[in-house]
Amino acid sequence: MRPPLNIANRFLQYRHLPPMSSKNTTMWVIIAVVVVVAIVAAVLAMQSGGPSPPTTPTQTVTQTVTHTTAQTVTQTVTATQTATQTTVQTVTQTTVQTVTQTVTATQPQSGSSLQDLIKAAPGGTIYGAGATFPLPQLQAWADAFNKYTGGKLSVDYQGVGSGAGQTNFLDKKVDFAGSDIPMTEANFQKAKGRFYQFPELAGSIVIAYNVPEIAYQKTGKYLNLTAEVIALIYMGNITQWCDPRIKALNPALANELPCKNIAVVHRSDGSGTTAYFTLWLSKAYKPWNQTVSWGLTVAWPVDKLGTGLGGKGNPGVAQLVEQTPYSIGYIEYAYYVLNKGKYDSFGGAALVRNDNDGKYYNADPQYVQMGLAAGLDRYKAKYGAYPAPDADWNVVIQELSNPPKGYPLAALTFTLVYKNYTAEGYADAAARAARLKAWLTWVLTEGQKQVIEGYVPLPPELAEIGLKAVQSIKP
Amino acid sequence: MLGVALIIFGLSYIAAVAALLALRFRVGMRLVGAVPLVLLALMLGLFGLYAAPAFARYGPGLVVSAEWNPPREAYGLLPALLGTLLTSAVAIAIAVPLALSAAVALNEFLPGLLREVVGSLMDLTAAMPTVIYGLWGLFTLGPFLQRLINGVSSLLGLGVRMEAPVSLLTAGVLLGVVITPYIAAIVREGYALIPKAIEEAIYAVGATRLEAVLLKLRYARGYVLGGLFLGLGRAMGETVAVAMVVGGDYVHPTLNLLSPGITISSLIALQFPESSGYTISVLFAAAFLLAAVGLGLNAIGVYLIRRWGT
Repeated sequence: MRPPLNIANRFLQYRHLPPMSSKNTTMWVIIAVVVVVAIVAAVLAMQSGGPSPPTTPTQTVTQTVTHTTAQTVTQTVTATQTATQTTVQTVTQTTVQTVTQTVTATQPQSGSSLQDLIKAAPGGTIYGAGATFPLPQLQAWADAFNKYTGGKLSVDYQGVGSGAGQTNFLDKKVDFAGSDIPMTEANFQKAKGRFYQFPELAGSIVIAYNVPEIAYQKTGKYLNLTAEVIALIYMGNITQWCDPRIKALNPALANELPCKNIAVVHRSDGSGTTAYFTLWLSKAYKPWNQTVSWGLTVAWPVDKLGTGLGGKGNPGVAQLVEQTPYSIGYIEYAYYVLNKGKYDSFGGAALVRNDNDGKYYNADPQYVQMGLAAGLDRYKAKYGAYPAPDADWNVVIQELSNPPKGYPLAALTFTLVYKNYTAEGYADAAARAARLKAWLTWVLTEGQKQVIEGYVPLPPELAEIGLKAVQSIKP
Repeated sequence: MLGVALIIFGLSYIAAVAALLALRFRVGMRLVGAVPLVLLALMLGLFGLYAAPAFARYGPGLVVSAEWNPPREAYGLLPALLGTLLTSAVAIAIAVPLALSAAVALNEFLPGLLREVVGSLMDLTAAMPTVIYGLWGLFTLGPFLQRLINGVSSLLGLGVRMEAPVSLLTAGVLLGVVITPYIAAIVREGYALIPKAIEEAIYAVGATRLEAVLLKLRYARGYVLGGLFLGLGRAMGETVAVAMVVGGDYVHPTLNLLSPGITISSLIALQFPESSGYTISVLFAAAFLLAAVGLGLNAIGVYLIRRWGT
């Protein structure tokens, strides 16, 4: 008897069933059927999930031809944009739209407009991964973009974190990556000159506090805070809410500030929010830079004293601030603004002083935009030009942080794309690049008009840097 | 893609079945048994390989110092190690009595139908995703423990001792709740396997109900120990639920249960997504450390079971 039947019969014996003979073919039939079904299923699946049709070389040619004309046309469009902005703001959008329409009408063969870019791109999916901070906005954008293109192009973005996004991008697992911080020094050196990075969305960070005695609903006032006082709280030097340094900033609330210990809340996971918060403290209060510095995770001095609390993600920090009386924490504006009423009932979000102009600002999007634009102007004044998209943006965000005016605690989130997808060895490079250009052009123009509550559209000057980079992506 | 995966898995599966059928039964089973061992060895080797740069750079200081400063590239895993041991100890201290009483109650005191219902409910809680426990810990358990501890300490005139709802104690109690159904399931099995003859003998010599239960538990002590060490392993390895309630203090080694801290597995869960450079290597070193501590504790477990279990 052959071994398979031998084992099967031992099993049958054990179960007190009659043994199988080699003439009994049932078992062999079952095995044969399973094998045939598996092979048929595999072949069917192969056909359905097979490779997409290859792009013709003619498409690549037309793509490269359109580049040169594209740049000149958008330049004229931006010229008119700035011209109209000086006259009446509300009219700006409609006039710009008509301008682009006329431009495309007069030059129908050029690939300047968004419509032409979408037309030139073969249908398919654009793959991205990275930062979680812009994830809700990217999902909203992906839906809107899919509708805008009539279902031709879709976007698949995985929120895996900025660090993993950068790694996936360098490993060429995705078409583009999202990252809250620019390429780190080490990663930048690896891909220097081969990729662009530019912000596609802005946000801001609020300093939320839970002090029932001075809740906004009770007093009608928000707490005034400065970088120095916030830094000293996170360093453990200011330990009580009735500290004279807090009182000095808030004469109207001085008598109501309770002598209770401050519970200091921070993120326990690595996060772009922590990076921008600590970067601002580093720029605005020098001792912070010397003792703590900035990064996705830092060694919090309050933790060394055992008085700091870590929350996982923005929801974790928000929950701790809400549950712990006399606490303070930094939260993304998007999470704060949806629950503003709740924060007002037990505290509020501090008005933060911009040390450069001495004024107190709230995190209203207009003040965030004002801050980013002012920071960008400062960069231009210092380096003679707006930052290039293939430069090391770690230098740029240093200038954007703690700006000359406006709300000082802005956060940016970046898109990473390659300059030349063929040279990077991507399969189907022409199609990928064409899809990517359509998507990113849409994000930086139409998308900026569809920013969901809590995020901040880019100031036009910053969006322009991204647009120029996108136009020069090569297939 | 799907087709390729199907072919690879399907063919290798068929090949493996054919090979096993053709081989002698004993040899085939030995091969199958060796696979998990090989996988474990490979995994440890991989951790060691990735962790090598960190061990080379920081040496033993990595385990005995307390620091977590990615901007300055300074790391030390002592708080995480202490946190893991403390939270697991609290979890075991809470879970073992609970699990033993649950198992005894189910097997001895509950009537048939109720026993079935409660038994399957307990198995269900063992299968719940732990992130649900984490949310419960953050929203309910943490604030409750804070009120309880502060209430008691105020009564004793010690003032407010627990400053925040997140702490090592919260994580430990949460873990205790998470692992109780696991331990209970194993103890229940062992308890149910006690031969009727032994049970009758116990009652025949005139034992009371309590004495009978204690004797039976002693008879099933191998299962109790086994459940304890399985629960301990789970408590040490739990990530997300702990990350939500432990407080995320990476730099303050403490034995005070009421202060926030960190465990090795929650440290990895929290830091890995945004890590780069040496952080990755250090996190692998942490995984290696956790595996080593886990293996050590399990070796003790096996020794104890051999010594007293049977």
